[in-house]
This record gives sequence, C-alpha cells and structure tokens, in this order.
Amino acid sequence: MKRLGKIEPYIYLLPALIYFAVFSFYPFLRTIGLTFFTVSADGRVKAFAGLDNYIHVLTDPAFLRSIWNTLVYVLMASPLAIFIALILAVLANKKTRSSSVYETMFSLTMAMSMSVTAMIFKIMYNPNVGLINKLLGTKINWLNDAKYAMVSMSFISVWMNIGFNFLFLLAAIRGVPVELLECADIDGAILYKKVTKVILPMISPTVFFLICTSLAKNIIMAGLPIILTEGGPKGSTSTMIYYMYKQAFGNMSYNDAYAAAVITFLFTLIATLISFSFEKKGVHYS
Amino acid sequence: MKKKRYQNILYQMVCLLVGLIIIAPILYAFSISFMEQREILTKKLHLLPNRIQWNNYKEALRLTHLVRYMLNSFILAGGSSLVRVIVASLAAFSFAFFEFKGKNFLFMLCMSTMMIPGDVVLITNYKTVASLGLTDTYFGMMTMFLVSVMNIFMFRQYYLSFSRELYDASKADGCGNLRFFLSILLPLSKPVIATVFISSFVSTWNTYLWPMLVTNKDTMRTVQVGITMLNSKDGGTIYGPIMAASVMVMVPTLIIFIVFQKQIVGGMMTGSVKG
Repeated sequence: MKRLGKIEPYIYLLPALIYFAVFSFYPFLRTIGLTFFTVSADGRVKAFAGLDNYIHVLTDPAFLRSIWNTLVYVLMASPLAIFIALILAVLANKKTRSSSVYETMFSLTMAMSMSVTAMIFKIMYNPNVGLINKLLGTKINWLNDAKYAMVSMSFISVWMNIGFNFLFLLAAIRGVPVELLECADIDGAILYKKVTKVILPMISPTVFFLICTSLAKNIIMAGLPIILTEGGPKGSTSTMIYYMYKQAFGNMSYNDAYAAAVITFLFTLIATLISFSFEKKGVHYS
Repeated sequence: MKKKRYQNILYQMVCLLVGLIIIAPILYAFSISFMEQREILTKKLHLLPNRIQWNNYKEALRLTHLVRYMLNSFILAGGSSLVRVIVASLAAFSFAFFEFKGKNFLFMLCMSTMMIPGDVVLITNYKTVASLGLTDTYFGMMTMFLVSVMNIFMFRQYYLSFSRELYDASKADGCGNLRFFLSILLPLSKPVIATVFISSFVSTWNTYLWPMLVTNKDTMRTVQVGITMLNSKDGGTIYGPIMAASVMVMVPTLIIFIVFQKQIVGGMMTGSVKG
C-alpha cells in the first residue's frame, strides 16, 4: 500500500505522458532527425545527407515562394483581425439591453469551421455570380488571379479570427477599472484618446497574447489552399505547410517535406521569441 | 433625459447593424441555400430568395452521404472530447493534489507540447497511424485530438481553487485517493468538465486536415471533408446544394456555441489571460 502511494501520482499522469511521447515528442524528434537523411518514397531511410535537404528546399523557388506567401498572409491577416476585433470590443464595451445579441454576433465566427467558411467565400468570390464583385462593381477573379489570391485568402482568415479576438479583447476592456475611464471622461478625452491612452495600455497583455497566438496559428495555415486553390494560380497561394503537405502526400518527396516542416517550426519559434522580447518592452501588467 | 434614451437606442441599432455585417457571410449562405438555380446565377444583386424551397437540401442529401458524415463527425467529436475530459482530469488531479519527484519537470514537459504545432509533425503522425493500420477507423481519426495540454491546464487551475482541507479531511476519513477523485472532486468539477467537453466538441467537429488525411473510404468521411468533396472545379452548377450542405454542417456548432457561449468563453479565458 505504501509502495503504491509513491507511484500513485505517476499512474494518473501516465495516459497523458504516453500520449505526448507518442504523438508530440517522438514525431517532433523523428522529423528533425530525418531531415539529415535521404528518405525513399516509401519512407525508408537511405543515407546520411547532412544539410543537403535544407539546401535543396531553400533553393527551391516553390518553397521560397511559399515562405514569402506565408509572410504576406501572416502580416496581413494577424494585425487586421486584431484591429477589427478591437473596434468591435470598444463598441460592445458599453452594456445595453441588446448587448447579448450583438456580442453573440461579433463572436459567432469562432464557431465556423475552415471548410464551411471556405465554401461560403468561394461563392462570394466567384467572378461572375459572387456577392463581392456585385457589391464592388468589379470583375476581379479573386481566387484565380495571382495578384489577388493571397490577399483574398488573408481576408477569409481575418473574418474567421474576428470572433476569437473579440471575446478576449472584450473581457480585457471590461476589466479596465471604471474609475480610470471616468477620469478620462472628466478630462474631456475624446474616444480616440481614451482608447490609445487608457484602454490600450491597460489591455496590452491581452493584445500581446493575441498577437502570439495568431502569428503561430497563421504561420501553419494550410487548409484554405488545400480546399480552395491547390496552391495556385502559379504557386501564389502555396504556404509553407501546404508545400510540406504537397511534397509529402502528392510527390512522395519526404526529404523536402521534413525539411520544410522543421523550417516552418523555426518560424513559429522565432515569432514566439520576437513576441516575448516585445512583451518586455511594451506590455504593462498591472 | 429623452435625448439620452434616443441616443442609447441609436447606439444599439448601430451595434446590431455592425453585427449583421459581421455575420453577413453566414446569412448569405442561408439565403443561397433556399434559392433556385437561376436566382443564384443571376448577374444582378440578389440577396434574398424569392421563396423558401427545400430542393437544394434534398439534392445535397442525394449527392452525398451527409447523414453518414454527420454520424462520423459526431462519433469523432464526442469520442475524443470524452477521452480528453478523462485524461486531462486525471493528469490535473496528480499535478494539483500530489507532491512527487519531478513534478515541476513533468508539468513543464507537458506544457512544452504547446510549442510543437500539430501540422509540423503531421507526416510522422500519419505514418505512425498508418503503420498501426488505423487509417479509415474512428480511433485513427481521434488520435490527434485525444489529449490537449490546455485542458490539463484548465482542470489544474480549477482544482487549485479548491482548499486543500477538503482533500485532507476526506483523507483523514479514510477516503482513498481514487475515491476522493471519483466521488468528491469530479462531481464538484461539473463546470470545467462542461467547458472542456463542449469546446473540444466544437473544435473537433470543425477540424478538416487530419480527418481528410486518414480517411479514404467515402463512408468514413467527416462532414468537413465531405462538403469539400462537392467542391468540383466547375462547381457553378451546384452552388445551391453546396450551401445547403454547408448550412446543415454549421448549424449544430452555431447552436452549441450560442447556447453554451458562457461555458466556452469562460474556459478559453482560464489561464490565457493573466492579471
């Protein structure tokens, strides 16, 4: 009985630890390890390759294009989704009788799945019958024109992330002490000043958290190109993980796929580290 | 006084209008799902269907095994959410109520899995599942969603809010650890159980990439994979049925989200926002 007492806490942890070992740490280390070998199309390790795989993908124009596309996508989608959500949160901050209705509307995009959203936007982006061209009076082929395809995709992602960001920002703004806002009112501060001088500094931890999560989430995005464009036209919507997916499951080129996976991981790591250094400078914890 | 009331009403109207703009794509999907072919293909701006008709829904059900997909998604989301609750509550029990060697290390080890994005290890996990012969099985589909470190963290935060006296008192009464867990702790943890179950149900129901990879058989597909199969290159002719299928797929999650908003939101905030 006494012996059991010692190992008891480990027993409760065991299922979680085994799971992490098998589906997180093992594949992570194996993926990194395999990037230094050549792997055949049926997945067998053939020979030590040093850095050849990395050199190969980093000189592949298709992968370089994918890195560029991913950066464009991330730098457009992440800030815009947070900015729009911030406006909505400021708008919804004041409680009214219909608060719960529009709060639900503002956050509803959170319940939407990638594939359904993609299908809806596919129709809205249709060059001939789509709502967007009809409203703008344009004739743009949003998803099939290399100039617009990535921007159009970023916009889908912005829409999907509004709800999640909004909920966090609303909770943060509601947490700002009322006295502070009242002081600003007495000083006659206009709304713009109130937001930039009082609200933003107070909610900076939440904004910081959202920047971190959305950068990490957007860097690994692959669903939209898989469903909508297959990376086209002319590689203009291929993201890093899409490249990895296509090389592994389309071309059976695991050498490229593993190296691309590790490089993508490094990007998420860099994004997190940059966010942390930003945290030290610009985030105020009360 | 009166002026203030009008201002308030005006303010609410503006908010509701902005809300309608935000959810416009969802409303548009509903609208198209009731339109006839020629209404969808018109070159003029046409927002609402002339009349409600259900042909697109019948067509969507005829073209795909949508009911079967729904069942698959339901098994996938329900099964993995249940496992998540069990594994996470057990692990958190250990972290919150026991003192043991290597506790902090193991906790950090678990938390570090957050740094490994699932898509980066996608290929190796696919190989693992395939080599176990689990493609086209429910268990194979669930493997990616069985444990989430965020859920462990949420349970742990919740447990830590209990006073240790509760645990010590029941121990003094001769209540074993497992019995304490099952008959005292779990019944008191209903709110966090609900949060974890509902939020993982919605996120698993909505997931696309992994179920697509591990299923080849049409009868094993989930709704998210199934509706993209309607997405043919010259899909112009079946927009109506596609939107009808999309509506049927998104309605369950929309309802769950609206009804359980408090639980889902409360859970998201745990631990992610400090101060």
